[in-house]
Amino acid sequence: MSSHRIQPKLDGLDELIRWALLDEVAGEEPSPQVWQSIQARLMLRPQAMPSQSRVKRPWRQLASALQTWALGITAPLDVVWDSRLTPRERSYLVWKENLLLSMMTMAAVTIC
Amino acid sequence: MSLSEDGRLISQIRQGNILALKALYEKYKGPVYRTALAITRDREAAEDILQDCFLKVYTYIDKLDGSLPLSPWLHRVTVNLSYNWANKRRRWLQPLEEVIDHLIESPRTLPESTLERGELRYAIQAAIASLSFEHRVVIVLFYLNGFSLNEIAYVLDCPVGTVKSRLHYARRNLRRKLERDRGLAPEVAYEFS
Repeated sequence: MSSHRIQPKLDGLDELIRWALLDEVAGEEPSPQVWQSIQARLMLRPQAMPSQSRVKRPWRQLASALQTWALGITAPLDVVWDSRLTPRERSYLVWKENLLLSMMTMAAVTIC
Repeated sequence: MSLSEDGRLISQIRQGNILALKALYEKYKGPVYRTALAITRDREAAEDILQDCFLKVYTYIDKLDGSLPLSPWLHRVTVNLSYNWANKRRRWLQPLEEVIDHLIESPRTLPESTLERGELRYAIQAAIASLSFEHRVVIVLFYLNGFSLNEIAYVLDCPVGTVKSRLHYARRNLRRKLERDRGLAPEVAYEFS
C-alpha cells in the first residue's frame, strides 16, 4: 500500500452521504456476548494455539494424501458392497478400515 | 495505542495469549462492527462477522505483519465475510423493497423547506442501501471509514482505478436516485442540512 493518498473531487453530496452513514451506525456497539463467543470457540479448538502449531509435518502430509488416495480408489467398491451387503454384514467386515490401516502401515515401513 | 503496540499484541497472540487478542478486539471491535453493520444493515449479521473476523485474526496471526496498520487487513476480512453473508442470505432485495415502500408512502416531490432532517437522512440511507454490493462497500469504506482510494484498493484486492470507477458510479447513482425519487438536488439538500 502506498502512503500517497488519492482523493476524488468532493461536493455537497459527499457531506450528505457521510452524514447519513455516520448517523446510521453512530453509537452502535457489539454486545458483550460476541467476545464471550470468540473466547468459547477458541477454547473448543483442539489446541488453543494459532495456526503455526497446526502446520503438518511431511510424514503427516504424506499419510493424509495416502488416505485421500485410498478413499478415492475404494469408493467404487463401496458402492458395490453397499448394494450387495446388509449394513450388519458390512459392519462385521469393516474391510475398508482394515485396508486403509494396512496400506498406511506399508507406507510407514517403506519410509522408514 | 500505537502501531507498535499492535505489533506487540500480535507477537503475544502468536504465543497463544488470549488477553492480547482481547486487547486487540477492544481496540478494533467498534470500527469493524460498524463497517459490517453499514454494509449488511443487520445487527446479528454484523456481530457474526465481527466474531469470525477475530477468529481469523487468531487463526492467521502468523501471516500478519505487525509493522503494518492492522485496520485495512481487518476491513478486508470484514468485507469478504460481508460478501459471503450477502451471497448466502441474498438480503439485498429487502433494502430495495424498503426504498420502494417508502417512496410509495411519500409524495413524489416535496418542497425543500418542508423536508425534515429525519426524512432526508432516511432517503439517503435508503438510496445507499439500494446500491449494488460493490458500490455500497466502496461508499462505506470511503465515507464511513475514511479510507483512501489506495487503502480501499488493498481492502478489496483490486486496482485503484476500479475503486475510482466504482466510487464514481456509486455517487452518480446516489445523486440520480436522490434527484429523481425525492425531487431533491443534493446542493439544495446540503444547504438544508
